[in-house]
Amino acid sequence: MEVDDTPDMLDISVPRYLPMSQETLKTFSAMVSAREDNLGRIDSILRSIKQDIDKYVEFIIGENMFENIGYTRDFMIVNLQSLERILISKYELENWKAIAFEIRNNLNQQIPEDPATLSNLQQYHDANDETLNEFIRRRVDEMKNSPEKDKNIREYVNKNDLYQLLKNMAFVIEKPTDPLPEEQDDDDVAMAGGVISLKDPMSLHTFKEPVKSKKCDHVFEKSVIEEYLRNEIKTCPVAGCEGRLAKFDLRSDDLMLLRVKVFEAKQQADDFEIETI
Amino acid sequence: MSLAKTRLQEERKLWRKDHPFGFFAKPEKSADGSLDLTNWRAGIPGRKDTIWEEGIYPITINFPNDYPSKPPKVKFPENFYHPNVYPSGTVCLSILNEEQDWRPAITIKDIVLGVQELLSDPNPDSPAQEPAWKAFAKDKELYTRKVKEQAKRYQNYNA
Repeated sequence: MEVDDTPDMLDISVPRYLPMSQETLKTFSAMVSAREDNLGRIDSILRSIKQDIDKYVEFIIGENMFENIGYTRDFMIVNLQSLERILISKYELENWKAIAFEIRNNLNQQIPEDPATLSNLQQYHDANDETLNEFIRRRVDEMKNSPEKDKNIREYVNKNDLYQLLKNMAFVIEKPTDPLPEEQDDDDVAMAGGVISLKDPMSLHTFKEPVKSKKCDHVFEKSVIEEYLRNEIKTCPVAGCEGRLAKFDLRSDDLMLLRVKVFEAKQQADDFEIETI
Repeated sequence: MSLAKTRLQEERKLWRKDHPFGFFAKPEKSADGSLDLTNWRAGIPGRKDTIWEEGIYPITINFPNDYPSKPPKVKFPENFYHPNVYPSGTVCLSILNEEQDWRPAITIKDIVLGVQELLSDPNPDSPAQEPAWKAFAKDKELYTRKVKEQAKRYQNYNA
């Protein structure tokens, strides 16, 4: 006797795709948090590097420690290299965190899903959904193999303030009156004959306590510009600049101070050389 | 020392170190023989290939106490022939006007170069005297003749 409607043999093997159990989700979340702690640790390392550098710069500027400019440059370069490595790890961790966030969001949207039972097992066999592992692997691979990866990392490192400052300082130690590479086409930088002016544009004296306007990037001697502005908002003293400035737009400009100190030290060294010839 | 004074000392140092070709500028002497940094005398050469080229034109530059917050006053001799110079000799130039384009970072070098440019390139929108202004606007031939005559008078002006 033939029975036409005999169901196929039930496939009770574990399907490729299964809904996540609450347990797995919890483990996953814990893992993400642990990675996030690493990010926090990186940030605190970055803060302490910044403090070290600030202290060092304060020291070399305050004590006029420029007999050995080569040492100062090496200090900057070594720090620059470790900073770069740390920033790359931070970049990768942040990317990982973004992926984890995406995954958690995806999972949250899927829940609740019916747990797999014998009666709905076939449904899971038929489903062609991406498993969590596959999803993570795909996103991580995408990140690692992205043709933009190197460019993105460079951009990420370059836009870090501390990295910028350190890079600029290393540059200024070599060439105290040269414009920074990114400033070379900038009309707002006070230059004459391709050289950065180390003088306050109002008193024409060499900077002692330079401050930079965050409105227009022009640099002034603190006491002179403060006397000029008093408690008013005034137009920037530089000819042709329409920036409107008040005292609170001024920030101390350590890079300019470093330029002045290095320039003076190099001049002294040159004078000494001339005298000994 | 006041900002005006220290700034003017630096201006003098800078000028002595380097200044545009054909120009001169220096502080006047006071009665007691010391330098009066607030009053300068300068010579502006007319630009080459213009009707002004033969002369070196004298100006005085007077710096107020609150220089460089306030601009200096620049004067040619009385009745100087130029559309933007008042009969008193005062120069009408936007970079010398506090309400217009004066900025404390403008140096003596910028000023004398600005005045030189004004000589051969008058501003038709700010008349300061009748004769030169009228001639410049309506009778270029007369204007040219008058300017050249004046250039001859200032041919040998120097420090």
